Amino acid sequence: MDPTIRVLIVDDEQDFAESVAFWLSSKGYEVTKAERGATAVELVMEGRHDILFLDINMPQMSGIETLRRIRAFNKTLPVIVVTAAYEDETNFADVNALGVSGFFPKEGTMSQLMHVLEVALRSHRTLKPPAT
Amino acid sequence: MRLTRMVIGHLGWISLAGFSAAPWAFGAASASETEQTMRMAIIVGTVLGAVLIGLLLYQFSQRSSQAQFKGSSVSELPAARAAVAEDTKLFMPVVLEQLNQLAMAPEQRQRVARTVSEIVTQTFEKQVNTVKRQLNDQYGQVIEEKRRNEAILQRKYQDTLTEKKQTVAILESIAEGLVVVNNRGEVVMMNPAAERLLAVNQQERVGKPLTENLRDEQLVSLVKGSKDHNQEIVLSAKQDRTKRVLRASNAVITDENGTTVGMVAVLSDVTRQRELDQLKSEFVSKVGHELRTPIVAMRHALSILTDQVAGPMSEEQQKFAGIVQRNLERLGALINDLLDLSKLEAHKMELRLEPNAIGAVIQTVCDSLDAWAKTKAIAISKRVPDDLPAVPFDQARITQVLTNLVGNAIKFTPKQGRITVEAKLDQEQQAVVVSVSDTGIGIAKEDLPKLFNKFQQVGERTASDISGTGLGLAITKEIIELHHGRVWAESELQQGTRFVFTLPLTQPSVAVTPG
Repeated sequence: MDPTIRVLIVDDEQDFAESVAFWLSSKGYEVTKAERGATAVELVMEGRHDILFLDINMPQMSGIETLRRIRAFNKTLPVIVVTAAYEDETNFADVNALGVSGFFPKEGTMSQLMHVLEVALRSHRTLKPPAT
Repeated sequence: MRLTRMVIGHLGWISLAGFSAAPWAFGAASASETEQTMRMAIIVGTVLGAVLIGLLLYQFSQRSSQAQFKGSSVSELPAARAAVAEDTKLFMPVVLEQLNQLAMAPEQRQRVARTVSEIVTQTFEKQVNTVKRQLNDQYGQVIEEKRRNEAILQRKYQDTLTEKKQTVAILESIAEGLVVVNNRGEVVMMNPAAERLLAVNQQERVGKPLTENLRDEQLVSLVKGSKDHNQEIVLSAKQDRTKRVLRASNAVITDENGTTVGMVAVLSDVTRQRELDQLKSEFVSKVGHELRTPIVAMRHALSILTDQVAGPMSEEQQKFAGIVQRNLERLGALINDLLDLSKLEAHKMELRLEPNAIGAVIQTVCDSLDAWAKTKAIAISKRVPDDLPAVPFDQARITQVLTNLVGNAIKFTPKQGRITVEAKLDQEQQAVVVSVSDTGIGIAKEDLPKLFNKFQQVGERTASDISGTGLGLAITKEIIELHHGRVWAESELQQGTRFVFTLPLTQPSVAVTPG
């Protein structure tokens, strides 16, 4: 049996994160939530996660800054950037340059989220999505 | 004229002399006292008559040359005197001769001569004075008339001067900048507000082309872009990085023949207005995002319930969850529309213009809405010629427009109705014309102009499924106008409605706005 995929959801919007976490848990993933970028950096440092859902718009430490800090010590962790629609200000080029596996707009449906997640996991050499 | 007067005057003397000499000549045989008295009377009569007639004739000749008189003056009076004196010379020999013939003592003759002379002198002076008075009167009238005319002129001049001062005061005190240029583009006039707004000096500018030495190229458009009656120009301040936005309303000045002689531009500083627009747009955008966040959270949480991930739901529970879901979608659509509109109004929406086939877009939209139309047994037909050329448009935005128009048609068409989506080439307009016609409830004529306003609902809503954000048509209009096309509606109550929009075959090259 495949080892359980451990997902870290980094989002200051806890209500959004809660739904996503519940959904992913129901699909067999192990989910951890972090409200702040700084917490996320610490958790990633502990090296207990396989993939990261990272909200780009966060107070204090932004998603981009969080990713930059993570990439300083971990260049391989798959990261899915979560964006709100109408994200005019986000510089996708900057985010892309830091290495991302996919984007998920918050307005998307849960099945779309699953799709992005599965694509990211498959593209990774060692990770596989749980069989459904 | 003087010659005429002299001739007339002399003729008068000669005829009188002849007339007075006649009885004298006839009565020369008898030299009685009576005869002497008669001769005396004749002499005096001749002299007085001659003087009178001479003066009368002189006056007559004066009046006959009234036109010339206006230009003459009392300096003519010596001329009258001279005329009389000259005539006196003519008749004096006759008088003296008559006196000599009288049987009188030399003293008597001298007395007679003196008396005659006095009478002549007095009469002459009297007449001359009369003439002088008349001339003075006439001269006075002329002077008075001239003075009156001068006063009128002076008053009119003062009035004009006052009016000019008032106009200048108004022009100088208005907040709007005013620039008048001639047909060569040279500045004829600019008020202080214009100097301030354009940061130039009138003294330096008048008589020079408006564009000379002006670093701000946008100003060139003031004179060159006179076709645009209203335009906005952005000026960068030389000292700092602040920008000012001026709105220029131009009007062409024509003479009575309709030839363009210049142009007047009224400039207003709309910087603050633009800043407020920007603030409003940012506010709407911010509010939109803030509203979206809880909606997204609710939607995801709800989907966990409705997808029964968190456990099974009863039918009743599903029904009410469905109501929540529908209204969340509606709220989401409203926010999306608001954000779209705020972007469009802030001119922040950029089009991805690529040559596209409108037929393909019509097909996609009709296919996606067909299921909904079928629920009302509405048939959607398409009429698109195969040889329709590709036109440059933003596919996503035109899809949005068509979805909105066909969606509206489905909403407002009763069951069993028909919807026709048509596209054709209009060579004259150099555009592809797309129309969406329905057999729906129609729109009253007076409501047609209001259709494209925000949150405008026209007529009475009866069907329960008629709901929307009220922004669809406002967005449609903005998107079409961004494509340099036009959109309008034709309708008859209970006959159906036809929405038409045009997409130009070519798009103007994107204007480069500095800064």
